[in-house]
This record gives sequence, C-alpha cells and structure tokens, in this order.
Amino acid sequence: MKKAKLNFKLFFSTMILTFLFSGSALSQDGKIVLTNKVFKQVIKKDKQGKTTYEYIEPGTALPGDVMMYVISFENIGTDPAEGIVINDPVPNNSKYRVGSAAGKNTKITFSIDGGNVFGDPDELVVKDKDGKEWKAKPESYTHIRWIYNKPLAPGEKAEVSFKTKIKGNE
Amino acid sequence: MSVLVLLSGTSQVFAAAGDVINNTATIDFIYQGNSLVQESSPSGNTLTGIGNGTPTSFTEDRLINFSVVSADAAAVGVSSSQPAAFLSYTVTNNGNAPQDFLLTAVNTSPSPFAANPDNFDPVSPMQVFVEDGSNTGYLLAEDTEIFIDELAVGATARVYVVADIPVTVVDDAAAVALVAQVAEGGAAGQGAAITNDDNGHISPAGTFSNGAVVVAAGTANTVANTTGLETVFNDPSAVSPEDVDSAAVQDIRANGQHSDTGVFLVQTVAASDVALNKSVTVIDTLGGSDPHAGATLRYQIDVVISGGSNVNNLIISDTVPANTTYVTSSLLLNGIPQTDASNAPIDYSEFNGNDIVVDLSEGGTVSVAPGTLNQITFDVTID
Repeated sequence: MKKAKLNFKLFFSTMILTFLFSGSALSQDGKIVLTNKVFKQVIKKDKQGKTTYEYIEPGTALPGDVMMYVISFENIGTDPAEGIVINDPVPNNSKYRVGSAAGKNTKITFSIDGGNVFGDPDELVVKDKDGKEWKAKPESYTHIRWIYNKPLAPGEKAEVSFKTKIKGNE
Repeated sequence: MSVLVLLSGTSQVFAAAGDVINNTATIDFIYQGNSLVQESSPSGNTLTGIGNGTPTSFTEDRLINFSVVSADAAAVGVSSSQPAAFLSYTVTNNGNAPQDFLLTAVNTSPSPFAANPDNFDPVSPMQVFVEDGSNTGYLLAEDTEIFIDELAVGATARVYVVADIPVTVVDDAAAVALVAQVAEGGAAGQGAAITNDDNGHISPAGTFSNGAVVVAAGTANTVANTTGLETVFNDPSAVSPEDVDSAAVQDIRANGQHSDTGVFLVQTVAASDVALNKSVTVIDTLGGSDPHAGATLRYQIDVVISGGSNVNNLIISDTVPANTTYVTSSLLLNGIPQTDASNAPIDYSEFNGNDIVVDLSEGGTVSVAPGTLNQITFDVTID
C-alpha cells in the first residue's frame, strides 16, 4: 500500500504542473534559444596509446555507433527565465547509454513509460510476469528530464547532453 | 519512492538502413510569469509552442556485413567418379538491410584439413544451389535457386557447392571455396551486384550464378559523408589463406565478398573389373580349321575394363601352350606389331621364351580407363 500512496503523490504533483502550463495561452517568442545538435563519437588512440574521443558530424552512422546529443538553452530576453525543465525522448532506433546524461545545475530523471512518470534510476522498476520487481535497464529508458535548479539570467547560456547507441546486432 | 510499470514485451527494433533518426527536445520555462513550452531545432529555435521546432536528424547508413562459413565439420567423404557430391555452407546477413547474395565456387588451396593436402579439382564447372528449406542436404529436385534472394537482417541461408568427382584414388582431396558477393535486395529476383561502397572500397571481378552472371570489378567511389544514406562495406577478411575471393585471391575486408573453404576427400574407389576374353582360331596348312601338327593357332585376348575407376599397372601375360611353338614376331597389340624383345620404350611387349607379356601401363605411366578395349593377338604352331 505504501507504493500506491507514493504513486498518488506523484500523480498529484503532475496535475499541478499541468494546471500551471494550461494557465498560460500566451506566446512569448524570442526569449529562449533552444538548440539540439547531434555528434558521432569517434574513438582514437594517440601516440602513447591513450584513448581519446572525438565528436564529429554524423556523416556515416551505422548500427553500434555512439551518438551524443547536446541541447543548449540561452536566454536572449530581458528578464530571467525560471522553472526550466528540459524533456527529451530517447531517439528512435537508439538506446540510452548508461550514465551519459549530464548537465550542470540540473537534477536528471528518467522515464520508462513514454514520459508519463519520471524518477531516479533506482526508482524505475519493472515487474516480470511473476510479479517480481527488477530495476529497469538504462537501455529501456524512453525519456530524459533535466530540471534546471536555478533561474537563467538574461544573456546566460547552459547546456545538457546525453549519449545513445544506434541499435544493431552487437 | 517507487515507480511501477508493468514490463511489456520489449521488441528490439533494429536500426535499418535508410531510417531517419530524429530527436526533438522541449523546454518548459516561466518568463514574466507565463509558463511557456518550446521545441528545439538543430540551428536554434526561438519560437514558443509545440510544432515550431525542427527535429535534429541523420540517416542510418547501409552497413554491408555478412559471413560465409563452411557447414561441414570435416572433409566430406566422396567416391572416385561420384556424380553430384556436395559441400555445405551458410551465408549470414550481419548488415542492416535485406540483401541478395550472388554465389560462386572457386577451386582453392591449401586444404584447411592438413592431413590431406589439396591435390585435385572437381570436374569443371562446379555448381552452387541454395537450400529451399524443405530437406537439409542438396536435392536436385528441390534446391534449384542459384542465388540468395532477400536475405533478411540477421538471417542465414544454407548453400551447396555441387560437383562431380573425377577418377581419383583414396585420400585425394579437393579444397573448394564458396564466395558470396553482396547484391541489391529490396525486391524479389536477382539484384545487381554491389561492387563498390561510398568509401572507396571495391569488389573484384567474378562469374556467379553458375556462369549466368558476369560481374566486372567495382570502380572506386568516394562520396562525401553526409546525413543522407550511404553504403559502407564492412564484411570481414578471410579467416585462412585458402578463403579466396571471386578472383581466386585471398579475400580482404570490406570488398563486398566473403568466403570459406570446404573439402572433398576421396574415401572409396569403386572396384573396377578387368575382363580377359580369350579365343583361338585354327589355321591349318591346308586352309581349313583342323588342328593337326603344323597348324597355326591364333590366340586373341580382349582386355575390357569396366567399373568406376582407372586401372593402374595393368600387365597382361599369357603362357604359350604346351606342345606348341610361338611364331616369331606374331604379337600384335590393337593390330600393331610388337617386337619380341624387351626393349621399352620402343614398345612395352615381349616374348620371354615362355610367355607373351604386354604391359598396358607402359612401365607404370598409363592408367587404363573404364570402357577401353585392348586387343592382343599372337600365333603358335602345333608341334
């Protein structure tokens, strides 16, 4: 019963958020620039045999390739932007790379049900057909959420990122 | 806090060639007291509202990767002169698009089984057929496809190299490589060979589909890497020196071909029969056929070979009958006079005082083939 109660709390907080958003029909263009760029990770070895990673335009993209998405948000308005939350679905044909989501001053949560419910990795649990609970595999994440925990001042720019692997026969 | 979601059957969607991989992030924020939502674009979107962003996208390129593996754990035992002996192979598509595969069999060396070195080739031309799935093992009536049509991603086809075995002896071995050449898939029927990728890799020339399809070597082509669809050869190189390409050169990585080698090993030689049919004709001094003293007896020996293999070291000898005398220089082989002396290589026949001896192996250098008739005649007179 404990779990049901907690679920209710989550449901309730989602409702508040929904209410807040639906309260505004205004559009205020030109305040935030939201940019999403994708790069392919290329592994190189230097003369000392040390592995380095390069991120290049995804000219050739094949199953098994690791891609990095960098999402930047910049305040080009006159007032601070607050309550910033970035949501991003894990792209089609791709699997989320464990531990890859990053972003300064953010709290990062994930969803495994198409973006309805978000939680920490430890909180994401699946049940098998016998009702036994298992921690969800990072490969099964469907969405990533970054809650930016401070206001973004005018002229300020921040970014978050994550990596995926293109699905294939590995 | 615990979040519960029922585990549903997860079906892994394989990233396929040509798929566009899209991503659009959204930002929720409060500006001047208004709650706003905005989508991303690759170049930076400033318009609020859902539907005003542009996905960040790229195209999954076409990976050409496949393997050919001999399905025979050891050399395949055959008989001398066996028709339609076969070797088995598998071809697996490890790329990300359905492909056709053209096939050819190439004589190669050395044998991957060191105990029996490669020392003969099957009767040319060998043929290649694809298992139709009914019954494993080559069957003339069932396995008639000469190329692999539409091999799905991750799928495996079984392929047979079918060959007639020539006249051989036990422990003779023939190594044969099956070469698969990638071809365009996507539609039923035999696709055109893909002889170059977009990164400068090419396939060698070859003849496929039991001689029906001649493919020229590819032309190196380098296309700038773009977010559009490209073709990338990444098939593996040969495992062993005998795993050759369609030009009979050791297979290299990323050439649109792959091969593996199987071996025919002769284990039995069908017994051959040597039949000697001897007859005698009496030629008497009066022109009749009465075998009186002084009459001539003309012996004829027909040497007939039947069965499945050549006969080596075949020497025919016959003792002159008692109370008769050999007629000097009467020995003929196939109508050709033979000297009585032992004087090879003038000829390989002699009369040694007791026997006529005809060495059909010509000193061990000639194998007498099945179906051959040799006629030996000689005369004696009755004492």
